[in-house]
Amino acid sequence: MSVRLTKKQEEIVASPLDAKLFLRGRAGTGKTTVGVWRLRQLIAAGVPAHSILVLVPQKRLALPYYNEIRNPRRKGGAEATVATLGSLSHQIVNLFWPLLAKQLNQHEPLRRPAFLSSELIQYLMFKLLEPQIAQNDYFNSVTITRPRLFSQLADNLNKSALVGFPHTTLAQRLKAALPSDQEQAHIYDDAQTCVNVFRAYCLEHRLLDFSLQVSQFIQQLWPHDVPRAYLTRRYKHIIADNLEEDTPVTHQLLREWLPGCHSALLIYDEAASYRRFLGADEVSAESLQELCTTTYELDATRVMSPAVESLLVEISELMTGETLDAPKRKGETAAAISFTPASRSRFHTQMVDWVADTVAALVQEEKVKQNQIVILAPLMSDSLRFSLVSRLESRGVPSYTLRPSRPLHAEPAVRALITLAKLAHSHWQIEPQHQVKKFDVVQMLLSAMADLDLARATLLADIRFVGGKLLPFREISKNPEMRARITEVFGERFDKLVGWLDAYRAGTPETIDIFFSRLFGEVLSQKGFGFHFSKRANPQNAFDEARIVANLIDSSRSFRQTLDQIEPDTDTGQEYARMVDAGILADQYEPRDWKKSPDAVLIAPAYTFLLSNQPVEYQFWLNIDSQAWTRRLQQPLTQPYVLSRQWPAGRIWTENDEQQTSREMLLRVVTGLLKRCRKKIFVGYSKFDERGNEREGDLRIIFDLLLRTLNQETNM
Amino acid sequence: MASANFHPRPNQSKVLAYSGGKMGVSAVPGSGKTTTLSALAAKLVREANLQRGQQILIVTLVNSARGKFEQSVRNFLGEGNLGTLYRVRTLHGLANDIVSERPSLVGLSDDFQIVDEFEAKAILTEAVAAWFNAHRDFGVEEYFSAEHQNKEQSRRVWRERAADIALEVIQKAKDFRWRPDALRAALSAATQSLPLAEMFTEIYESYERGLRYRGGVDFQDLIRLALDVLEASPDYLATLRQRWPYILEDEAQDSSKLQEAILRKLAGESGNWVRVGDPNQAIYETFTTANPEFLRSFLREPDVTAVELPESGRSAPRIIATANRLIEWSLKHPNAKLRQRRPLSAPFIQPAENNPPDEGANVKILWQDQRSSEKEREDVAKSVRAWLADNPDKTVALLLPTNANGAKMGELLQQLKIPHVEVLRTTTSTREVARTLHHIIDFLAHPTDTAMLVKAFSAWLREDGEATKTNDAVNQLRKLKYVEQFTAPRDKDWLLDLRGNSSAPEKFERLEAFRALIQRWQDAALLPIDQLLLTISGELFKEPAEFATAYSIALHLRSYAEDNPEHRLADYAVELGQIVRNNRKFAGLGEEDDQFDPTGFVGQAVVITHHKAKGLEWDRVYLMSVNNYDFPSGDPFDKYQSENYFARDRLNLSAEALAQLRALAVNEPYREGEASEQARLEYCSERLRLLYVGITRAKRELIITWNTGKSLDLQAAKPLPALAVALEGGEANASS
Repeated sequence: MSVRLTKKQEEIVASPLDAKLFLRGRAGTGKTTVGVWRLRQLIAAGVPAHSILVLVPQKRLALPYYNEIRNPRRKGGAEATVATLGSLSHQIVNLFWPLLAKQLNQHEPLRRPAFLSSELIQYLMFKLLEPQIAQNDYFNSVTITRPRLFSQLADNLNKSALVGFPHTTLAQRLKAALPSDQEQAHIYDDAQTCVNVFRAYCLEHRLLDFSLQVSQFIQQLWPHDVPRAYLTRRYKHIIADNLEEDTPVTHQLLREWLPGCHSALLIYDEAASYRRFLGADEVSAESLQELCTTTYELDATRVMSPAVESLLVEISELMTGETLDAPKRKGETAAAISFTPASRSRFHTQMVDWVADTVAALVQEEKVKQNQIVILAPLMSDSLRFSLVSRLESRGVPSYTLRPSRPLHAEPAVRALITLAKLAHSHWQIEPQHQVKKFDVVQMLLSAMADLDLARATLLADIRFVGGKLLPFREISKNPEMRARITEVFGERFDKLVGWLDAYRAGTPETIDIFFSRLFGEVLSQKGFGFHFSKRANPQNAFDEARIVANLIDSSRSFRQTLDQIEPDTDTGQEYARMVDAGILADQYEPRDWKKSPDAVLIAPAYTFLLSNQPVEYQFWLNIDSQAWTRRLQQPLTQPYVLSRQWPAGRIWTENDEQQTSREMLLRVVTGLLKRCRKKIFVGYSKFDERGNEREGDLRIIFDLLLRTLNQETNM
Repeated sequence: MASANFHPRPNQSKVLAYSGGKMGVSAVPGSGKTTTLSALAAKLVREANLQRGQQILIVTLVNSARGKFEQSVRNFLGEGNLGTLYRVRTLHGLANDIVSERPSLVGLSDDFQIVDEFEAKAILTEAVAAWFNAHRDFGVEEYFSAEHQNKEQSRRVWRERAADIALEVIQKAKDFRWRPDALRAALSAATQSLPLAEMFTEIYESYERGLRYRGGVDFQDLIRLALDVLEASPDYLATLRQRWPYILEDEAQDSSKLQEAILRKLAGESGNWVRVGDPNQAIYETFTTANPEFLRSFLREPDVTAVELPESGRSAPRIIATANRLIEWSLKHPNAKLRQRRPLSAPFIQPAENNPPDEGANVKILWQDQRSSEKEREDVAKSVRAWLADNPDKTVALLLPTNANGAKMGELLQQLKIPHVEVLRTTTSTREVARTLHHIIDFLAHPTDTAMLVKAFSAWLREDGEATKTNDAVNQLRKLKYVEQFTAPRDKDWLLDLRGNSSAPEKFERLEAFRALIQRWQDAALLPIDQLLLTISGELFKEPAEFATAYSIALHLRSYAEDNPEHRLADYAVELGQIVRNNRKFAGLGEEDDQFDPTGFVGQAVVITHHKAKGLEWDRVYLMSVNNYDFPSGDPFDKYQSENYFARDRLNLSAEALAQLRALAVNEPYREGEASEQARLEYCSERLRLLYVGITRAKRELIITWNTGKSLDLQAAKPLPALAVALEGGEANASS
């Protein structure tokens, strides 16, 4: 890391080896830098690396620490451990399973448990709960799709584990805080019944979903002498970063762990807590300060330019109505913000064109690094993403996208692989509506073969997809004209693919993940095929597809491994394809190579960018009229605020809370983004949104006011 | 009316003097209520000292009116930053806003879908079919007349109609907030036998299950749920009251009970609420629970300032006299029960200062001319053709009672090559958007078909404002043998060759631009259908209304795709074709028919239903099919659309079903036949008002015709002779 530390940062890093430090400050003030230097300092001073634990709320936030651990200048030997509550509990539950099994009265304590991925949870809920819901008419006053219903049930279970209350009290908590008419009240009881059934099933079949894994770790193993000694004796130095994004049980764990540690550095970001909907709790995070001997605060930004800082002050004042005691550099603020010009702000498409032009100009004329630009919207729809990616591509700018939790079947690359899997496994029993149709073959070919166009893909499917099978191109002998139209180049590629499928069919079927893996490795990632990295002029554009395929392989592997344990007679491949078709499975994996961000412009939902905690020079904020900037996720069966530890028993959630939350969310997201911006934000605005509606979100109103203030300043 | 030219008349000034409290304005057709209400909105925006986040809320019934208001208020205010200080919404749009802000209060997830009418009908048809499957032995035979008891044909028709009846019954049940579980509970406790209630409760239950499973709500639900939200959270209601300190409501006579309740809640006890409407123009009573009495009784409330806008500058004096005569006739209606209901009432229309003059025989009521419906269409077509030739700079409309009648009229005009535009189930512009998208999707589904490519190109050129017939590029494109040589050239680039060989290569610039787009759209063919449509629309259209239409089509296709997972691009193209052919209806949230403006169709005949014509005006208006079937008067020989020929005792099965449900919901005894009679009276009243609406669409000339119908035994609608006779100077039976 080539950053120079400030005096204050140096002072913290150089604290005694037995110091317990609490470091607080706003985003962009260099706290994580201190964390990384402290890690380096500890090791340099002779602390064994294996005794250091770096604890973060999610893997992505550990990136700077991984970079440090991988630093080639560092001496070899054991490494510090980077963990999340999830990975730590997984490790300990796995290691001490026999102990836990005994406590859970399992008959065969030595038989290993199965850890359920989020897909498996959805799958099992679907199989287990769907019949009960239909039979008992549960949730009859809730209008919701099945995947959303199950994810909210899973969410409730996770909250109980992460916040630390019995899952059996979920309904009672929700009903107490969210009183509604009788028709609605019973849905919480229905939800309670469903999670109880699911929990009982998991325990009976030794299945550990995330909530059970965490709660067993916290409630059974951590209090037990042996596992606790294992952890506390091994890790004597703890660096916990982004505490405010972590959950109360993590904080509780630290509270009990810290007294026995040699040293600790707890890093706390003020006014963040973007993961509240996942159980993050800044109040319990801050309470850990009392366990530390020294508290430091960093307040000088290391990210924002003076102009951006001044913009932050102006916007914060507009949003809160308070005057801040902070530097506002009159006249400078305007340099940190640009709006879509009036001539290009009538329609959404014009605005998107403006974004692409501006990005291209930054990259090509001002030589800004591509990975220093992000394009953000509160929600990133397929069409918005497509419009951006294709426009950037035509201007020679590579981009990549992060959009977690989308259904897998929404990804063309996934659909292509599923189509190929169905073609390769003709014995699968597939429901008629999901059998392979000609257009599926066309879409598959477009994804699978590089440079292929819709017309030729259609020609190929027209004449070579016969009776549910692909026939070789080389066997077209009577129609030389057709051969010439398709071209030999594509014919040859097509035959490679068909040859591979034929050879596969002739052998013993592989498991689904191995099938995907081989297909990808042996064909699709080869030159001339769709997932070869030099597919297009801008190789990074293949990044998204490659990541998605890697995720598909991981997801199908974990699905297969666990399902084999639970239902050994089920054809997991067929079942997996069925679940993808039904939209039950979602893309929820971190990219395998997430530690290496590509050199490309990032297109992402604003929250996803915030949670990755990586400052950039330029940010584009799109669709500022959208209500999604301010509105919390509305979920009828769960509510993160009332299920938090800070929610007093018996208090009722009111409209005032709702509005307070909205204002707070907007303030946090706006200030969070600005603190991660070095030079400038570009505000993308169009009078009509892509649906032809005129909208007016709160953020737009703020920018309206800001614009007026800026105009006044310039006029002065 | 442009804001600069608006000089309020004294009565209009009374409305403009409003500064707070409740006001009810009873406005006759053509009294300038839109302009007055817009001027009032603009005044409040300027003078009401709105705080940050506060807005004047203007509520309209249909989307066409929303667009008009939007424009009109903007005209009064001028451009500027004031756009965020007022908000114009349709009642459905408003309900959607309310529910979308707090969906979890009523058990909705934030990605809830609004199913369109077509999909709702599909769910319902499934539910009805399931009911018939499960009840083979009980087909509600007891409601069949003796002669139809054992007729297979009648049973088949009954099965087909059951879905329509169910739709009507469920819509109204929702409007009355009768929930299926409460009905079910009441049914099990009921002492009276209520076979129709049993049948439709069961269908209602399974329809609701179907909606829930899709995560969807229908249009009626939106209204009901909005009220539920407001009742569930007084705090949220307080927030909304704070946000909208003034509510201006247009077409208040057509608000249903629930809609009125929503606005009443939003306004609050002592709130600021201006309702403008005309009870004489209430024409939604039979579709919804709207009732002109609601507005009349509002006008009588003690804290309401009632104002009348009786002057109308729209029509020539003789047309006004005809409309007034209809009011008088209805006040003395020969049928006592109808007379009691007062279908039409004062105020009478008073001419303003600059009405168009009566010229020649400008009102013709051809009540003595007996014609078949074909003959009526032919005669009107001839008359229109002649008139258009003499009046190329004027507007004319043909008003028909139903979409089906309209479509037939449209076909004839098409055959006779008479320039015309149809504003029917889907408007022409909706269909134009659908047609363009259809051609492009059709090509993407058949990307090797030159003919499809040509159609897609022509559609794109049209959107770009270029005529296609004479376009060289189109002709060249027709000669293209292999599409891929244009869309994805490899060894041979057809376009490059074409340009190279041409003396005027610039002629092919449009092809170049089109190719770039088509290439992008081909890549987008991998996206889900709704996203593909949005992507294409973004680059194709230029008007907000077009985007909005494209969006509602995209939503429709998304639910269509979810319901039919076996379908692919080619099937979506077929479905788009259905929209183009007018077989699918888009309504409700009203992304349809934004601002139909008759003045845009000078020199063309506009074919339109009476309902859609409301709020519009033309120089000449033909009111067609004014017979005792479409405009009955409660005579024993009148026939009614909603009464099924196979039902005994002239029972109206949907009215009886609804009455049985009401008996359950409000716990009162059910008496057979009463509801059917009530329905007949309601229908007669509403049709009278519809006739009034039709008459008042005409500015200079009015022609009323009728036909003898399918059975050739229909008569002229009862009021026609009275109107004709009373026409001073009018020609009671001149030929047109």
